[in-house]
Amino acid sequence: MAKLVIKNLRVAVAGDLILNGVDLEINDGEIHALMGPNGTGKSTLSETIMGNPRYQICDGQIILNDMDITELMVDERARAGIFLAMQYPTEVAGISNADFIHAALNAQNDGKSVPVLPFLKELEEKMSFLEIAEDYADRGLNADFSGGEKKRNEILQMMMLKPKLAILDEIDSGLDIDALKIVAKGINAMRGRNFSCLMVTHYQRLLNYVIPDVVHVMMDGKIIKTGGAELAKQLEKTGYGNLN
Amino acid sequence: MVKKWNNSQVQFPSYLGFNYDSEKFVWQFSQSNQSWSWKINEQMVDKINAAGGYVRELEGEMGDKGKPFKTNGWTQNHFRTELMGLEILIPDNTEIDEQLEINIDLCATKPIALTILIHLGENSHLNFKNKIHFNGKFSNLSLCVNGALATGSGLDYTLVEDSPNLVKQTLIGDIQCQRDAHCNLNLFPEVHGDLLGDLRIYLAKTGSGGEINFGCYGQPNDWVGVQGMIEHDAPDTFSRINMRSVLYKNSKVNFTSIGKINHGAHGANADQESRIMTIEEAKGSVNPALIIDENDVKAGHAASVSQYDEDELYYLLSRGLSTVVAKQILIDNFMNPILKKMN
Repeated sequence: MAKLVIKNLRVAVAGDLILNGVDLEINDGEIHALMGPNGTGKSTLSETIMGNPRYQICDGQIILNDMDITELMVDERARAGIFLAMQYPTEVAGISNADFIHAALNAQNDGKSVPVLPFLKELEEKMSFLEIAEDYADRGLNADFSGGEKKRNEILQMMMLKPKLAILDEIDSGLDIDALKIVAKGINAMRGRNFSCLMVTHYQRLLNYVIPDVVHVMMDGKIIKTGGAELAKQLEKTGYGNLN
Repeated sequence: MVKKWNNSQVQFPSYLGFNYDSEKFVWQFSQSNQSWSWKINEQMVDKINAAGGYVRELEGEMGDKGKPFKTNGWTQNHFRTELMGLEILIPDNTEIDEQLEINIDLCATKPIALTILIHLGENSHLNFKNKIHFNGKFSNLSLCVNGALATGSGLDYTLVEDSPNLVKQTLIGDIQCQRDAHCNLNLFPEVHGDLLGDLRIYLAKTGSGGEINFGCYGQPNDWVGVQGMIEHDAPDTFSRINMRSVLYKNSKVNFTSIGKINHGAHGANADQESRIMTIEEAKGSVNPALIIDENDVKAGHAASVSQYDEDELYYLLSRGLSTVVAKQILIDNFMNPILKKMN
């Protein structure tokens, strides 16, 4: 199961109301795209689902697989199956990529150590699939990675951790066309009944490679329109102005 | 006969008004009945002996063994007393390719003073790791590391200490570098209690260089006051000072780092970075200072006292790591620039 339900979500940041009654339902195995002009609350929604403490939930509920996670802490949500690929992944040079992913898998496994050899084998396979050089496993987490490398590394983490719900916050920003195709390949490889996804994006180009089941448009802290993949193509031609 | 002096009569070096309450510390005196032992790889001894050098015990010797820094009255007086510890001599043109590792066990029950003397001949190099284990019940330790590096020589000295008991320690490092000589002082005293430190490298001649890397964890009730100074007294000299500490609960750590560039030391390059990470109510201060009396130099410093980065913590938590594990990763990450020097 990989179902997310959001009901009447109202969220403030530093006292300013950003989300003003968001309702959203993502069913098992669905990939949704969330679009909208800058500053309308897309990243706020992403961070709020993940549980970033800077975002204060004033009202509403977030339910993952029939479990209310509204009050859960960030790490508890992650262990419940939520993954956020961040717009600006943080660098932590003191832990290697491989050790970090292994530690995250151990955390998922109730703190028990996941066997190292099968882990390394899978990591090698996934890195090869995403065309990430072998030595990146031993490099510091995101340390001195380019913007594109960081995004690819987010997808690597997603593929290793196998979340129930992945939120990809502008995973396509700053990617060249080859990197975009690789990232899209990683997302498509995750498709299945036990994986659902919310992709935040500004552009149709990602959606050419990852065809969404549902497209939402957010404006002024609310989802104002929902449609199929054709909605994104229409927005590409007409912009957001005609939706007001 | 132990010759004593009273350190309250001699001022502990202080810079720019930073006072480390040195009157709370008493420099100890060597006593020949003190219990201590040391271990060294015999093959290394053979190599050093074969090259014409030695590693030997100082036991109650006095006299002009060390060349203490002229402005530190504590070390000057120390070298007028009987010495206990080790003396290492590496003759000219000797390259010791393996790391020299000496483990010292302190089993004393009374206050103890230990001296490590290092003499490097011209164009000789030594990588020396010195581990000190505090096994005794003593409450006071004075440790003096003194080195003289001849032209073209290089010393990498790493000190790692560990103690299960509370100890009041005074640590003095004092290294002098001649032309094109380079010294790295890497110090990680994992000792609980109080620590007063004065670490100096004197760059006496052209082309010499020095680096001080100091790290410690401040455990509850610990007090640490450490000042590190590298003095450039010749042209084209190079220095780096890196100090890092993570403070828990009510520990307190104060760092002062000084890059001193004397008149005539043109082309000097001095840089320093002192950072403290505080956990809970711990307090710390960092005082970076550049004292420059020359125009044509490069010098810089960075300093911070802060908690862990909230964004980094959030990122780690977002992958399911518990708060405890995530914070430990950030602590290790913070200390990594110093810890990697220890390895």
